[in-house]
Amino acid sequence: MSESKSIFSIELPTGGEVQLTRHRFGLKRAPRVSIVAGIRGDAPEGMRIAFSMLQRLVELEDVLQGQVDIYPCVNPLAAEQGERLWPFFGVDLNRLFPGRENGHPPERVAHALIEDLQGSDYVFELRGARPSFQESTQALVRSDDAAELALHANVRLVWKRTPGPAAPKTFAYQFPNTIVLEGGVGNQLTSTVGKELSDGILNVLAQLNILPEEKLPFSWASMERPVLVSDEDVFRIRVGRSGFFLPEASLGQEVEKGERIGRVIAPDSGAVREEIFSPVSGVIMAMRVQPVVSLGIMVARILLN
Amino acid sequence: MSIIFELESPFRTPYQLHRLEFGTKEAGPTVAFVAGLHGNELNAIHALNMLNSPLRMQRLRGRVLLFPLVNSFGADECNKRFPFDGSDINRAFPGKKDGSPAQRIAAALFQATEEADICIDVHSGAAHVRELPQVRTPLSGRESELARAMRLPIIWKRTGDRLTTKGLLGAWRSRGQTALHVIGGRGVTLDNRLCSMMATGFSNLLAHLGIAMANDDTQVLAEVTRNQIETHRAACGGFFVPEVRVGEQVQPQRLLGYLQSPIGGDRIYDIRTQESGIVMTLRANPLVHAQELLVRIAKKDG
Repeated sequence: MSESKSIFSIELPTGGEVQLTRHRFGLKRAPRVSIVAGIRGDAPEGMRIAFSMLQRLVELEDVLQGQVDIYPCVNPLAAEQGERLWPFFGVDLNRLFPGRENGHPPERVAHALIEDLQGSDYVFELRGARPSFQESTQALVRSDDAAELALHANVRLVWKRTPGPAAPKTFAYQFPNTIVLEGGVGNQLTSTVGKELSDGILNVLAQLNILPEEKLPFSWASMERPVLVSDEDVFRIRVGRSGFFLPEASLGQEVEKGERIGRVIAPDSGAVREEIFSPVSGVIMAMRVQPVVSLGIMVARILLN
Repeated sequence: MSIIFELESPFRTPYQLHRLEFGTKEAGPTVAFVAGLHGNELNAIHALNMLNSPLRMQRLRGRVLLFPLVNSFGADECNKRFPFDGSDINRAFPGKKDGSPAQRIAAALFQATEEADICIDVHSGAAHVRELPQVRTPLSGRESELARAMRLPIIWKRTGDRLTTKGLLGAWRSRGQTALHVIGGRGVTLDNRLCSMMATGFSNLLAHLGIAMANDDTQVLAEVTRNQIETHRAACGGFFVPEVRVGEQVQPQRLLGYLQSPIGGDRIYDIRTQESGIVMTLRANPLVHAQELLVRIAKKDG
């Protein structure tokens, strides 16, 4: 039997409250996999995948050989509004980890979540695409172990990233073997991405022998065979002028060095301010879909050939 | 306190519209007070809550309905609007029972005030201005009489030609109800002194109607129409530094404040009164665009 438990209750000033819920499948079994979504309120794709996993694990619980915990939305007040930041405080929950027991509510939530996750053998963080972008399905990892496991997550690429200056305050940094799954379009659902990534998580559970492979509702042969890349394999294209960016290339497209991928036009006249050429050859793994840009803004990410 | 309407919410406990009811309608007229249509107007909410205790202790000759906080979800994050869709509940009247969340809340509130003989919509100023407690009323008639009975510092008589029936006040009046608009203080913040003035004004009104006892320690400082208000707007963008407070009596040529450059602080120009009067509105957020309101003076002889 699965178990649902509130791990934290947020009291609201006017008397209401909102619960942070953990759904546990496969009681008291090892290994333990934890799946966390909705750290930011503008990532509905990640929440959709978490809810999809809830539905699928109800049917598979009897054959689970481990424990799976799902936290489908840990920033519900932001999710109610489709906003990235926690309302009122205006803070990014993904810059507050590991949190504080006696801090303000967002810090307490971060603390409660990290405490509840202690003992997890593997952690997934489910996101969508970053705001304003369409992105290929990808797994972001830090450790070699996570990278090896993420190769089974039905994504196009596994990106082993070097932590930046802000990383120590992020959720993923708290557990070295965290696999962050991304993809789709910022702040919306994409018809295929949710299914691809929830299939990918089930496939990883099978690799960990938590799920018997014969119980997977798909063939392992249908899974993506991702490429493993590092920071040096990824090139970011930025605009040199402000204005209205009109893309001329699409996600997944192969581009040659010198090929035009878009233009920046003046919003008041339509005149072309800048033509954007790719300085490298490769495949477009992220493309800006929100057209208003300022000088220096990234409009595409290229996976180098 | 009773819950007269509930609305399911995605994650948190349901939205609830609360009503406090005092006295009986058989004993006299019914007066409805509404605050917190805008979730960041905390002075209005507090002023209404100040009535709770004295009303509980009296035998009323009539009925008083208090709706102290309509937009509670907005108030949770100090947001004027209803957070799910960013809508202004005070632009959703008369509401729709099967409409958007704001329209459903508006419909429930509109229905709940249907039996009221007199309706008072209580607000704070916007987040960037501070208002001396004032009642806004049509130029004459029953509302004008009731406005005077409140004895709030400012009575502002307005034609009402800009009133929309999408707002609660306009919707009440279009239904034939007697309705007044009270404003005091500044959004986002709490000014206990101004809240007390508003609460006293409400008590004065209830006493005038014979429903409750008077509090009677306020006085009208000015009764004005639009022509009797001296309005100062920013001639250019800049950083406004006030030199007066709301409620202050000022003489001609009094320095009200000055506009300076936000970078470097060079003084751009001074703002001075032309006539004597009462400071009824004062800009609180110093960063101003050209043509934004800085100060309103209710002329003393108005």
